[in-house]
Amino acid sequence: MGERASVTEPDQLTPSLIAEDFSAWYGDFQALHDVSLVMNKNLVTALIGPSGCGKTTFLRWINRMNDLVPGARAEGGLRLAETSLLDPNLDVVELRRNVGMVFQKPNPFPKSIYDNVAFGLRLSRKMNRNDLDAIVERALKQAALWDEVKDRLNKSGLSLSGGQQQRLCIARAIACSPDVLLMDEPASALDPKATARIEQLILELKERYTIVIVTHNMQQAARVSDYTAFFNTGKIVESGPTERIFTTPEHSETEDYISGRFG
Amino acid sequence: MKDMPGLAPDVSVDALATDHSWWWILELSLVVALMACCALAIGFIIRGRRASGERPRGGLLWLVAGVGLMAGGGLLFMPDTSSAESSWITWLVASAVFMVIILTTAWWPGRSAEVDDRSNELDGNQLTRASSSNRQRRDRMFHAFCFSVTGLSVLSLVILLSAIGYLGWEYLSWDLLTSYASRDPEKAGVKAALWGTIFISIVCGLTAIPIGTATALYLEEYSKKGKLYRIIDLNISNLAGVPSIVYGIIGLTIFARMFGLFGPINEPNIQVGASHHASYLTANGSSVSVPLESRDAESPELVSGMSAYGIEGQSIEIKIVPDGTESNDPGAIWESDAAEPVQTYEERHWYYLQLPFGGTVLAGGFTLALVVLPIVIVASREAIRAVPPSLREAAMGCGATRWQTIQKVILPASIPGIMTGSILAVSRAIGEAAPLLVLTGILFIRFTPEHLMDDFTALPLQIYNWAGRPQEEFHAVAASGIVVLLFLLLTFNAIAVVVRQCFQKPLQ
Repeated sequence: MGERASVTEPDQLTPSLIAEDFSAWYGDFQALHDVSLVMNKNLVTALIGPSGCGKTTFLRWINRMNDLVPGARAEGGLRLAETSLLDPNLDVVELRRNVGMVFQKPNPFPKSIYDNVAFGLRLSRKMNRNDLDAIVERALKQAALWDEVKDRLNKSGLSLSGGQQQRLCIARAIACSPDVLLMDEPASALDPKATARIEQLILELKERYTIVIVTHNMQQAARVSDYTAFFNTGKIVESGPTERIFTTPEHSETEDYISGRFG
Repeated sequence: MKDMPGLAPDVSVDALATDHSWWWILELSLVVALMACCALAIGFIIRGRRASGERPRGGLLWLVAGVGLMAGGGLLFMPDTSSAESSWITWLVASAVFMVIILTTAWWPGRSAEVDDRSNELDGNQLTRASSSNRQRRDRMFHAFCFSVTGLSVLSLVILLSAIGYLGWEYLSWDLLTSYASRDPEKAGVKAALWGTIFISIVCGLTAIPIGTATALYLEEYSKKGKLYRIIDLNISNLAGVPSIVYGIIGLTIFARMFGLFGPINEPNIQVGASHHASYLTANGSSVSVPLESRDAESPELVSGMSAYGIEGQSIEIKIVPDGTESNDPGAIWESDAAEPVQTYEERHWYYLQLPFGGTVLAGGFTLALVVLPIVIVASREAIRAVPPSLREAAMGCGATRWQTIQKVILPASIPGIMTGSILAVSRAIGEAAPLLVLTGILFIRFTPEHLMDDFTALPLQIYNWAGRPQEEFHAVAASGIVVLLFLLLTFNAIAVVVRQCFQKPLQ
């Protein structure tokens, strides 16, 4: 299902997100230990690992959502292109506009479908209705939701099914034209059919965005990602092209996890 | 329960209005309700004992306890009736009625008793039967307890409301709402009190709701959950428990007197929207006025050619005439009257404000706002906390600032809860008498407030006043005042329900 042609030609890769010796704490608890990982442009990077291994923490540092958690702090290097993401003077509001996020549980606002997609756009500047209409339509089309909702854009976002709601959340995230799209187990609350839609969508979206996805589903990681990083107890055990990780893992720990013998 | 009306003829409802103070009907109602529920509870307990097939001694013990309780309860009615003869009859009837309640509850053929009897026959295993029936008995007892407690509160409320309605019915009319207080109970009405209550509740709402919501937002959304948060949190919980009369004293000190910083209430140092006038007698027995610079300004001596204005505000040119001159000219003023005004007075516009506030609408509203502020804060915090954290994350993840998150996501989602809580809180403020009593005392007021610095009286104060009067008729007027107050409260609660419905629709 996945097209991994690009992986075999490393010279075409442009690093988008770079973590170097990145460590993170919640209070006294160290959640991440010296993580180093390069996430490339227009590729899907999957973060896998057992619960509590720090992969979601890592994801939430990329758009600084951990700022909302009291006692969370981080050290080391984490860069988006040339910008250090740990800079205390960083405009996190601007950062989050450039780094869209899709959450585990679909969380559309209790507003109309249109207002949901336009939410991020309206935050920063006044836009005229025509521009807004065009962007909303484009975002919904990219999220493969347009055909299903084009006649009822004024209906509440909560009236959609779970899978549609998640695609609405993806549309909301990509409406702001981010550089990076973070997905925290985007399909874990969905049925297999809706999951297939989301996965197909991820493959389409990687043409435009750098995607980082956290998943507990090994098949999903194998299907959608180009690169995979295996986290365990706050460290990256192994990372590399998905094909290699899943076929010839270097560490026995990785093999055990992927084959379902642990975790 | 069905035997309850049997009491009514004996306590002679017709005599209520003409007998001594009728307030004892409320006491009586409460005692009746309490005793009836005790009777029910005891009945259920005996029923449970019987059904579980235990030694009858236990049931008998409860029966004896019930008889004792009922005899004692009957005694409670004795001081309430005048003659010794009728009090004995009352006691007998009351005790008998309660006994009937106990016995019917205990021995009324019912489902649970039959089922238990059958299970006793079928189940050969003694151990199983004993333990299961024990559990079931406890279950039934708790059921009976909950039923009794619920019944007690509902019954008291029904009896209270019907007693009030019965007593207030006589004076309940449109005239009650459109007349001012009066010495004559037939003419007395609640107009001033009703408008006073409406004014102060509006001030209270407009003050308490924004401040309370803002505090709740700060605590839930901005504040770090550290020491300061815990101190504020603890204080708000404690404030909710402070007796309202204490808030009355605070209101009196801070709002009405302002610590005496701005002079006495009647001669405020700071006034806005007041004009001062001096009025002079005219030769035709009427009066004219001239404006003064300030309250303390010297009144001018009138001279011919000055312009003044009459009682209806019309412009009049002054003409000084010798003393004793008869004149129909409205501007004609005797020489001796021109030197000194008969009085100086103050005209207050609709926007009149003064510091200190004095016992006025604004001070009253602010004081009530203090009373309900903790309730508004707690209700708003609950409503804000009920907004799913995932919505907050979604908004923040889209690049919203805290304020944008609050404005676009949290407030729209929590406004129904905030409004419902706030309206219920304000409706509690409407019923408050104690703080206002400290603030204004009992005033005999025959006008509706025209500005925020007007004196006022409120429904609870008016009711308190009437209920304390020696004349029987005023007690009935008080009852009708209570009906008006209850109606106002129910209206507010209904508004709260409607608001909740209206705001919630678009969200689902």
